[in-house]
Amino acid sequence: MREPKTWISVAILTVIALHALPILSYQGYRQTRWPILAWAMYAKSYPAGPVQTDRRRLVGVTAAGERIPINSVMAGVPQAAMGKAFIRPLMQGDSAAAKVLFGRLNRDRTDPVTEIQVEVELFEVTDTGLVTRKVSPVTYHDASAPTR
Amino acid sequence: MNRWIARWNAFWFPLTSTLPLAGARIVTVAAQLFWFGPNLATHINLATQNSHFSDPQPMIRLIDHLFPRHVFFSAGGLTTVWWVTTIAGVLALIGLRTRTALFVFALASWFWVSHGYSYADVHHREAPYALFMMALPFAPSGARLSVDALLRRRRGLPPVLSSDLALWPLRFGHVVLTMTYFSTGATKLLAGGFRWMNGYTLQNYVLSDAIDRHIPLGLWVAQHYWLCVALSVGTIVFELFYFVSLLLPRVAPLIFLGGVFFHIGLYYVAGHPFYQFILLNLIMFLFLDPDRIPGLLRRIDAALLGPGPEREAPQPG
Repeated sequence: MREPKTWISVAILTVIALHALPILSYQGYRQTRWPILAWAMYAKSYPAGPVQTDRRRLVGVTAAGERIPINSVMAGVPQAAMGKAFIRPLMQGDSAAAKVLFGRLNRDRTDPVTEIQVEVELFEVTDTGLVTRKVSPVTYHDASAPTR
Repeated sequence: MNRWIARWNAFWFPLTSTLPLAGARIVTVAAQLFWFGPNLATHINLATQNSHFSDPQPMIRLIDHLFPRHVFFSAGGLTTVWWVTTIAGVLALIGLRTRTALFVFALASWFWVSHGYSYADVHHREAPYALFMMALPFAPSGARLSVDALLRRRRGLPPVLSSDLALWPLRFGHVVLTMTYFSTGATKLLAGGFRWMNGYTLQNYVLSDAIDRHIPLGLWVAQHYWLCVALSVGTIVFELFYFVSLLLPRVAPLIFLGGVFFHIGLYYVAGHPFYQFILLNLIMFLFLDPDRIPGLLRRIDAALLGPGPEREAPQPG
């Protein structure tokens, strides 16, 4: 039987070598090889120009007219996955994502959510400070909800 | 060939005091148990809200393949795993059946991270820490500062004061950290050359994170162009040259402290919660060099060893 140092050496070399895998076969941000990951986060660079970003959030409107912020617990995904799982698809007009979200929101609600809005605020760094602008929300209606 | 093997062994397996490893075990397990531990309610919510894994990680794929979904991924299943994790963590912390407990605890901790990251959301912060944690069971991590060591003493057995397997987990953690930093820095340059340091890049990133996470300091930094140029140059230099800590042991403590402050800065400016990286750098600072073991640990260890002939084994070199 080989001594522990040999096995440990093999393990060390294997782990180091495995780190080449995500580089050779890059998966983007949806990596499925944890804890062996590609470390290309924040790698993209921006050209000289306006410094701007946006803040997106989901709001539900219930049948009784109440507005409720939709959080990750209600949506059933991790907080950081809200963008990938729902906000981005909804911004791009993905009604299937809206249907899934309606289903999750209304699973246990007595006052069902009948409308989902994606609210967007734009922020830009200017010489005079930070400028904020609101954009009209993208709205989805629950097709299965009874009409009032 | 023999020369290379000798060099390899000298790097990974020198005869070293077991005290630094024991200290590292306590800090690592305590942090994982009380700070980075899983939120059971969140995991139950994820498992019950979703009927499948959108991006299953390898460990979850394996479990999902071997067992019906309700065995592990139900409220009852996850609660059972949570208790196993907690009990193994407590045993690993106090050092009772240390290596078995460490293995179960590390494996269970991998399970929680893998589960959380199987729903379209993967982050990097836990990976090096998890790899380091998985190395601990394969070294004499419970030889000191542990119930196992006390029981050994009661049985009249001599303490394991040094071992040639006592340093490799710390070296491994150091190498993994180096790889991750270098990879992160190199991909920035490979993706856009020196443009990453043009100031606008960092302004955009910091503004986006600061708006998203409501961080006033980040908003302020994002509005100062030259500060962002300086910080982006500092980031690239730190990430690309962290490996110097492997080559120059005397400079290494400064680089580890640099790592601690780098991540604290990232947290306060952009809200990146890389706590595991902070801790891993701190562990390297405290325990990688056996000569710099905190005095408190030495005193506790001396009290546990009790009066007798046992003293630190002479250090090589």
